[in-house]
Amino acid sequence: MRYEGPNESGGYQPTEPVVRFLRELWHSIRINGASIAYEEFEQLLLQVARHYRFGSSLPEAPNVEEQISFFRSLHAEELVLARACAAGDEAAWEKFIVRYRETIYSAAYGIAGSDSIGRELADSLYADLYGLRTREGERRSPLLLYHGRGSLAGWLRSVLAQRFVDLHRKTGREVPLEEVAEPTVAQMTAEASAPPERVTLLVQQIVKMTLARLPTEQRFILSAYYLDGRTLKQVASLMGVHESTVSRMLSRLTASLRKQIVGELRKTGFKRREAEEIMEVDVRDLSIAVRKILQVETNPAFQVQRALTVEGGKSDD
Amino acid sequence: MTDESSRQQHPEADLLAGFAENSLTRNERESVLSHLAVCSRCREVVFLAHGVEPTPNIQSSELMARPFWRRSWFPVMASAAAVVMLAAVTFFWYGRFNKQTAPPGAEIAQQRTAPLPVGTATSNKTAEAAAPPPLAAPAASKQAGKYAAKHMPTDSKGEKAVVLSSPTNPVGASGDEARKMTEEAPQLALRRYQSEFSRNTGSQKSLSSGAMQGAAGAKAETQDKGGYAPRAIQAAKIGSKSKDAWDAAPSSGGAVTSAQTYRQKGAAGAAEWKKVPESKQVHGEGCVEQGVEAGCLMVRDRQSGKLYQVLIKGVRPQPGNGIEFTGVARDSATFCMQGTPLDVITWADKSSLNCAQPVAPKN
Repeated sequence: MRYEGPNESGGYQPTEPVVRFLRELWHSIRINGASIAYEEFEQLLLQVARHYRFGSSLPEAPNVEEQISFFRSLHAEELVLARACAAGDEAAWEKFIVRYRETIYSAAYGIAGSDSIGRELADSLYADLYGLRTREGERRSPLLLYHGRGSLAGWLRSVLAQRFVDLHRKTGREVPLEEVAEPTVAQMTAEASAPPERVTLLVQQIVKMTLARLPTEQRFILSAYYLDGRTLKQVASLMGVHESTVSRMLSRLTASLRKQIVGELRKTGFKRREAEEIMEVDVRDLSIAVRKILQVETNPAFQVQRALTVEGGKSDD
Repeated sequence: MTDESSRQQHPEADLLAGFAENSLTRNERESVLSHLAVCSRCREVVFLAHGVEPTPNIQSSELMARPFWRRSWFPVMASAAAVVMLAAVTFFWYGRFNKQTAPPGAEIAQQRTAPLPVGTATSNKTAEAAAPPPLAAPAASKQAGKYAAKHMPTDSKGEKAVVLSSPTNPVGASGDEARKMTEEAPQLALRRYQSEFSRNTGSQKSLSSGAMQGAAGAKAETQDKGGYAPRAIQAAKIGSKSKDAWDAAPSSGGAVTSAQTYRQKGAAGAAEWKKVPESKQVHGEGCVEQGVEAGCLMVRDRQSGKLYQVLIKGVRPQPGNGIEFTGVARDSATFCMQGTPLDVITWADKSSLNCAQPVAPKN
C-alpha cells in the first residue's frame, strides 16, 4: 500500500484496526475539550502520516502495529488546537494564549538572553502565528507547519531558536572592517612551518574517510563537543544519557580516531614515528580539516518542502 | 554539502522538537542525528530550544523582563511578611511572658490573696492589711492608706501617709505622673534600700527581703504595658510586704521609705485602675479548663455562657477548679486563639461550683 496515489487525497487508506484506534483517539481528545469532527480528525492525521511516511524510510506503509504506534506518538490534541488556531477559531486562540503565551515569551527571553531581543523575537512569532502575514492574499499561520511530532511547546521553542540563530547569523556576518585582524607574526610563522601541502591533503583525506565511517551518533557528539563547545551535560541531556557516558564515549572515540588515522598514514608509507609527528605538528590544520569534513552531510535525508515560511515568506531556517 | 548549501534541507522544527523529546521513530531519529552531526546551525537550534525550560507562573512579558526583586509587588509582600513575622514573634513571647514570668513580689501577694474567699477575715493584723478583698481594688488602696496612717505616722518629708490614699486622687497627681511614679518606683526603692543598707547593719536581712521583693515585683509590673488595675492591687500588697519587714525591724528607717514608696505606687495604680470604665470590667464565675493551646486557661462564665481566656499573673488556678474572677476584656487576640482574652484583676477559688457538670454555651 503506497502513500500517495494520483492525488494527495488518494493512496493510503487506513485499515479497520487503525480506524478503530483513530476513533478512540478522537474520543479521548474530545473529552479533553477539542471540538473537531471525526472525518476531519482522520484526514488530519492521515495527512501527517503521509507527510512523514509513518517515520519510515520504506516506500511502503509499515504494518498495522507500527501505524498505530506512529499515530499514538502524535500529540493529537495539540495538533488539533494548532490547526484550529490556524483556521482562525477564536475559542482555540483563547486556549492557545492561556497555555502557550508564557511559554513563548519565557523561551524567547531564555534563548535570546536579552530582554529587548527576546521580546522582539516573541512578538514577531506571536504576530506570525496569528496569521498577520499573508501569502497570495490569504492569511497563513506557521501553526500549519506543526504536525504533532513533538509537543507544541517544544515546537514553539524550536521555531524561536531557529529564528534567533538565523538572526544571529545574519548580524554576525556583518563584521566591521576594523575588526578583521591582520594575520599575526605567529600565524605567519606557523603557516611557514606547516607540513608540505601534499601531506596536509593526505591527512585531510584520511581524516575525512575515518570520520565518514563513524556512526552518526558519534559524529554528532564529536561535533557538539569539539566544534560547538557544548558541555558534557548539554550533550548528555540531549542524547538522554548520563554525562559520564558521554565522557567515556569521547575518550574512547578520540583514542580510536587517532589510532585509525595513524594506521592509515602508515598504510601510505609513513613510519610510525613520522605518522605520530604528523599528528603532533598538524593539530591545528587537522582541526580545520575536521571542521570542514564534519560539515559535509553524507546522508541527505531531508527533502523538506517549505511551502510555508516562518519568517516573512522565506525559509524558516 | 556545506552548512551554507544545506539550508534548504534542514529538518523541520517539528522534527527537531520531536528529536529533543525523543518521540521520533528510529529511522527519523537517525536521520535527524545524521543531519545534526554536520549542521552547526541545527545543532545550535536544538541545544537552544532544548536547553530552555519554560518559566512557570509568570503573568506578563513585562513581569518576566524584570528580576523578581524589582517587581512592584515584591516590596509590598516582603513588608507584609515582615509584619506577620513580627506579630507572630510578639504573640509568642508575650504568651511565654504571661505564663513564665511571674513577678516574685506579685506572686507572694497573690499567694496571700488568691486562696482567700471573698470577705474572709484573718486574725493576723498584717495579713488583714495586706489582704484586702480581692474584688475591690480601691479598697486595697484604702487598706494600704489606713495601715500607713496607723503604723507610719509620718513619712520622710513629714507628711501624713494617709493623705496618699485619698480615694479620688491618692497622690494628687495626674494619670501620667502616677504612671511615671509607678515606673520609677522600683529603681527608687532599690537605691534607697542600698543607701540604707550601708547605714543599717542590724536587721538588714528582714528588711531587704521586703524591699527587694517589692522592688522586683514593681519592676516586673512596669514591664506590663496593659492596664494599671492589677498593678495597683499588687503594688499595694508589695508595700504591705515591705511594711511587714518594717514591723519586724522598726529601727530601720530605710524600709519605711521603701514601704511608703510602694504605698504611693499602689495608690497611684489604684487611681489609674479607677479610670477603667466599669462597662469594660467583666465579673463572672466558672470552671477552669485547659485551652487547646498548651498553657492557655479557659473559663466559661456560668451566667453569660461566654468563654474567656483568662490571663492571670502569678499563681494560676488549676484546671477543673471553680473560680470567681474580675477582669478587663482585651480587644486584641492572643496566641491561644480561643475565647475572649481577659486580663484578670482578681480571682478567688469558688469550690461551691460543680465543675463536673459541663456548661453549654449560650447563644
